[in-house]
Amino acid sequence: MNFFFGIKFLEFSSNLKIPIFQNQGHKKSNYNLYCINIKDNKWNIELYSSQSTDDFYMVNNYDCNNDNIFFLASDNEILNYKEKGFKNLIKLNNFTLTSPAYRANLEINLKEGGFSSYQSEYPLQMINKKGSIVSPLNILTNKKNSKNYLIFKNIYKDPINEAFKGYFINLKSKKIIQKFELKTNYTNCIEIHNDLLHEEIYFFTKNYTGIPVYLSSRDKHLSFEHTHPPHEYILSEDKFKIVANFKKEFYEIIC
Amino acid sequence: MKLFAKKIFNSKLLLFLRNNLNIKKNKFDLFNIKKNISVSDSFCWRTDKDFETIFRFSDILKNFYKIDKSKIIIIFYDKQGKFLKEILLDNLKQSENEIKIDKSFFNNLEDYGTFHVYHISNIDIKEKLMISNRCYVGYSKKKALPSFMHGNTYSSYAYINNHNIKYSNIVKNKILTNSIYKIQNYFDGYDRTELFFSNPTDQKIKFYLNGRFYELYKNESFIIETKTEKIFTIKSNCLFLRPVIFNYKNNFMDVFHA
Repeated sequence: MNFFFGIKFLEFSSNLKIPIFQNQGHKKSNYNLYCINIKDNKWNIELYSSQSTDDFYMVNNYDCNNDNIFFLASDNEILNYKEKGFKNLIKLNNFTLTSPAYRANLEINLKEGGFSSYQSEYPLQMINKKGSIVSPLNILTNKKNSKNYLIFKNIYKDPINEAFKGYFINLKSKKIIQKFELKTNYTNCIEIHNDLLHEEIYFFTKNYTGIPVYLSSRDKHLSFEHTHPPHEYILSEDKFKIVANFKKEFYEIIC
Repeated sequence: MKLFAKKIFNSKLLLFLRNNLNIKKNKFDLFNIKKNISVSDSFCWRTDKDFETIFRFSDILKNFYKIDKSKIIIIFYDKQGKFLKEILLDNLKQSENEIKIDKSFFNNLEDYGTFHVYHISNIDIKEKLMISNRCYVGYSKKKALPSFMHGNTYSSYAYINNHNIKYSNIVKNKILTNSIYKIQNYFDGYDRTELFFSNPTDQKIKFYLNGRFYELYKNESFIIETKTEKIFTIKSNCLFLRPVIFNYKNNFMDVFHA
């Protein structure tokens, strides 16, 4: 099961196009789009009525904010979930569990300017995990006269907006360059200054996982894409051991 | 016993049968590769219509295995799948390596095609490595900010130590042209859309895009432009055929993998 999210900050807004069909074509016409957010330390779930086509739910830029999370479910699945008290995010169905991954188009826009998008999703297996993220700062950013931002989305199963630390780390000098606060169940947006766009500098989190996405803007043109988790680069069976060794260096720097 | 069963289950013959009978299909076959290998995606390059392509990659062997002095081979093909050029890059940086592919890179060729990227090393590697650099490719039109995306589909591999490049059909094909991939995006509000298709296998791919028939030979690529269609369904004999999308609106452009 996958979740979907939006972004809103500064002069940037976003919209989501969430399909009601799997990428192999199977469709669930009885699936509605639900919006979930935190109210009074509880999950608040609402049926999201939006402009839609036969095949897509459209989430407009007003609702595509940093708090709202979206998912597909049937009325019955929501009733069952309600009986369980909406205590935390759980698997309601397997409809969005596909290979290749079930994705929505997340497009970011600049008023009277450009647009950029990627096929996005937040997989269920990530919401149960506490863990770390490593992502190089310079691989998707642009130095030349541009503004660069790290967008870091976390979704966690419990209805909490807990603060946790993010770090920009120089792996070569083994120093923390910048420490900043992030929030769970939120789309966090951090400006990256140009002097940090060097090959040795990485973004690292210790307590919570998430999806790091990079946004660049120049002359109203935008570029928006996520980095891969390190284990995507290794296809052999020992991939998680190799990645754990790689991350160990970062843990040692922040401890 | 468990390993033996896994070997049988993933044997080339059984994989062929599974994929063609739609029983526990596997789009990628990495199980039957025995040695240290570097797998490449099929990346697309463009120098047509004022495009420049920016290619960025990290040194995976250095990052994860502490192997120094590795190199990168990049092999370029034109849109007919013919070999164009090969470059060898050394002195790699750990996380930021970049090359710009513009028309001067190809002696003023204004066209498009694909390229493959392999990590190689002269150091004798004892453990069995299998790496894949998904990399990042940016597309810039008229020198504007490049729009970046990551690698889209596995294509081929090279042995890390002896540099022998293999096209072994990591992405699997089937006999019937009935594998469906419906792009999960709604193409409304754009001036036009281009779909960049490339063949990641060494066999002919047959496919239908919204009912229109096309064929792609080994390493071949082509761009299909459309202004009116809002939904795209691809039906093919390839189990993983997804295009790179270029969307245009006013003077702006967006690139992403479908």
